Amino acid sequence: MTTRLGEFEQLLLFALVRLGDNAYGVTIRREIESRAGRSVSSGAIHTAMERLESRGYVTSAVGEPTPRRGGKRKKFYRIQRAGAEALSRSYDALHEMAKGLRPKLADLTAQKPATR
Amino acid sequence: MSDNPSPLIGRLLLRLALPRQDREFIIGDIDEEFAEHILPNRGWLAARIWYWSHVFRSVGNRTLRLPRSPRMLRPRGDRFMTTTWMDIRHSLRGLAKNPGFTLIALLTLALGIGANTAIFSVVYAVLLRPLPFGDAERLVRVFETRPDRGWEGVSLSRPNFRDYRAQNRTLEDMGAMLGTDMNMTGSGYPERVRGALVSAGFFRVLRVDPIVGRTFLREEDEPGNETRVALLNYEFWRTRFSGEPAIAGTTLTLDDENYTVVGVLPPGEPWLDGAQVFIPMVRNPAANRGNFILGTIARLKPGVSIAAAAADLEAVAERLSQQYPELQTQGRIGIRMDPASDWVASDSVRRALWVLLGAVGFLLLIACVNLANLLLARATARQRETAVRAALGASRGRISQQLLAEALTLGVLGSGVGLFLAFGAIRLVRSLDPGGIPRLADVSLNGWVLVFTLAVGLLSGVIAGLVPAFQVPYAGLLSALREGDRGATGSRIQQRLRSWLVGLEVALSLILLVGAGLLIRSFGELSRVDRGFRTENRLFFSVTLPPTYDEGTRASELINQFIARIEAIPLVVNAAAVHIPPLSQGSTGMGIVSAERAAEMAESVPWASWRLITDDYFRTLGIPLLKGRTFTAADIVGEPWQVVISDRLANLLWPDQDPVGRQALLWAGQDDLPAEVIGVVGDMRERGLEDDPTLAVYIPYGGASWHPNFVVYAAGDPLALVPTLRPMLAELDPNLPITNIRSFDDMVSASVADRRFNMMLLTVFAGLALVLALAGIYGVQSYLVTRRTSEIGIRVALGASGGSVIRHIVAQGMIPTVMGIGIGALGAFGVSRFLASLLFGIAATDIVTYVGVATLLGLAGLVSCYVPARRAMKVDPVIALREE
Repeated sequence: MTTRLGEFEQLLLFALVRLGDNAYGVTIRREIESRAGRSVSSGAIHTAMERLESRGYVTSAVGEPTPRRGGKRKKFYRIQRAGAEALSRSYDALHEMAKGLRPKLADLTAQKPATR
Repeated sequence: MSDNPSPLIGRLLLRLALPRQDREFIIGDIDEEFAEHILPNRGWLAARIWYWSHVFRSVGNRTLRLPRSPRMLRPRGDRFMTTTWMDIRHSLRGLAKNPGFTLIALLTLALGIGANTAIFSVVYAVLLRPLPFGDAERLVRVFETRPDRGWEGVSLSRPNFRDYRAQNRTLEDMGAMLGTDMNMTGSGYPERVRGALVSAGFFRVLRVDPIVGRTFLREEDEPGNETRVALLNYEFWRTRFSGEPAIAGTTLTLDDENYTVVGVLPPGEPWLDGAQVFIPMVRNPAANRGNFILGTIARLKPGVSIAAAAADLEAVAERLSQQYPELQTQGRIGIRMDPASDWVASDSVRRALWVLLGAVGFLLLIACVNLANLLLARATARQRETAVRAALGASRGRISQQLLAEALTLGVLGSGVGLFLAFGAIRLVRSLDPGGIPRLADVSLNGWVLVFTLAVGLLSGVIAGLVPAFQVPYAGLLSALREGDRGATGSRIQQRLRSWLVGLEVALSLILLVGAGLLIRSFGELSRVDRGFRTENRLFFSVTLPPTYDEGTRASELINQFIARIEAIPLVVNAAAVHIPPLSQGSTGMGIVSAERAAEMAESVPWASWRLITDDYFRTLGIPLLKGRTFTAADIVGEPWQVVISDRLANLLWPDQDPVGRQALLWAGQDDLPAEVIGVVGDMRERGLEDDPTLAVYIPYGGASWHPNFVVYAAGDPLALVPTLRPMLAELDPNLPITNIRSFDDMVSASVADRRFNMMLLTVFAGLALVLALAGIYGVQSYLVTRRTSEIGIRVALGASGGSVIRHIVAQGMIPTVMGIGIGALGAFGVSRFLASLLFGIAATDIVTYVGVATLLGLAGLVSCYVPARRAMKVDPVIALREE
């Protein structure tokens, strides 16, 4: 069957859902940075998107060049049905696994680990 | 591009390293975010750090599409030094396994490093090495300036020196030195020694301690002091007196007077090597204020700036010019002070050395680019090895690190080989010594130079290693594994990168070649310049007369007798004497005006150099007599005053009139001696080929007693006369030495020796650059052609003619060369203005040079492209096809 989504890929797809029509390198990067607290490189975004695109999870479209980009064009990404399904599956799995564990996690992070 | 605020180099790096399909978007993303969000919010420095971190992360992310390696496969105890050491050993093994590559890479690098080390060691010795004086930063050399006469640095007259020393408030002390040649007799044959008169405190101003005995005492330059003491220069003491430690107390006979040696000075320059024997300059209250002869130094009081000290002396000068009308200052007397750091090298030497250092810098860059290209080709060939290592879990960082380590190892090894080359080059440079570059004999490899060399080697390694380190792991891992060794084709990006590097090499070498071309053209112009006198078959030599010849006409009688004897030699056409030879830096000058326009000209008195000459001087040097007559052997200076003047001076004093028979005032403003102009002669470039012809006033030698310099015009090789001259002079006076014997041609070529030295070195560097660039073009072209062997086979099999295929290949191969020439021409245009001061007769934008160099480089590039193409055509198409 289809490969599972990695954590980074999940972050990317969530960003696409959030950003809708305005998802391209800069907005995706800033979205992930501000919400997830992770600084990712533009190169990594495009590489990962290419991989997602090859699996049919996202599509891309090239936009117009703007002067603020030194005349360079933007590459917009849009999540596809297959991508949304994969994301749901991954999120559901994670959600299912995490169910009810919040208090326990809080306990574990609060105290020092006993061994190792 | 100018309104894009992101760092140019970073963007270039991205352009080079990113794969084509995403390049535009990634660069655009980073630029946009940088300009819109980061720069406005984080400030300049933080924004730049952000930008660079994203450059490196984007490049790193894109260069290798591999999963992160499992932790267990990374080296345990992942200490930086452990991996570094592993990398070095791995590099050394790799280099040893591939001796051909290693040899070429090392040689390329060593050429660049060696040239840099050699020139840097010259720069260090000449410009950077500290002076041998205590607290040298407070030492200055003092000149007067006369803006009204266009003099930018005049030596001081003896009375002015004394007054400045007595009246200043900002100087700790001043010292003065006056060079004078003396005859040393009493120990074997007579010998001319370079002597200097110095004020008694001179060496105390410099803070120099003698290595034997003592320096002069305060009272030893006072009038009436008859002690007659002397100090020896280190070199003279060592060579002439075998370094005898008990030299103090010995007696020397100089110009027929006895002097007691009191000490020996340490080696060092400047000043300490300015003479072989130093004697105290006894103060002469009657000395002429218009006689600018003293080289003067001063030590500033602590905390006093040069500007403050100069202003202080200018105030003294102001008082002096009011007090002494003979100073005749229409304008003000200014003071110029050169800090000790400027003493050793003149401005022109300084500039020339920086230009040379720049040139070898370019050469090193070319070598680095070449090496980068070699490393890239090697990495392509080792793609499979890289792929296997990656598949086994090496991270991309580790692989890049390893590649960089290899380049750095090459850099260090290259430094070693480069040192050997530099050692040879330094010996060569020393043997080429043009005479005008101070301290050249002391140039050597020392600690600073070694540090410099190693630094240059490491830097070269980094520059050459960065490109492949970023680039290599990008090539598709799977295809590399699948295709095995046959897959060593290199990606499209790598091909383009290599073409770019070749273009860069061509551009850099064009810049160097243009520089060399401009100097060569200048030299050509200089040797074609009309110097106004002839040098072929002319012999030059000097004779020093001791003070016993000062009275009456004794000197000129001896000179005339000697000339008569010389002219009696069958080989000799003419012979003459002059008190200051052409092309020498020495000069004697006077103000001169026409008597009838004296008042009118008082505002701007022409300043002419004057020369004592014997009657045959013009004929001997081939200077044409334009009007009137020249002197006879019977003419005596000042009885009556008669002069011959040069053409330009005549036009200045009597425009559009016949100057012969008119009255001029000599030493205008000082003595105002009326003199009759009896003739006009052609102009000559006396001060050197690069200067304009001098305004000249000629005065008969008769009755004067200056040390004469002789010029002999022979019908054959003038040096053949030398053996006959000494005995001939000895018959007239056995105590007179003949020195400075040279052919006049040698004097001319010595006067342009600095220029020739610069030209030769720059030409050598440009030649090396050309060779490296051609090797680069050739290497890339051969590689591409080999790769396309099967394609060529198909083309030929399908009926393409050999010529058309070759044309196609060559045309493609020439693209980077042509681009490089274009870019290089623009670069040269920008850089060559730094050369402007070294040029003569042509502009820094000289079109002939540019076109010539571009043609040369283009043709050489064509050959480098043609040869591999031609070789590929020789392959049998059947074999070529089967290879596929």
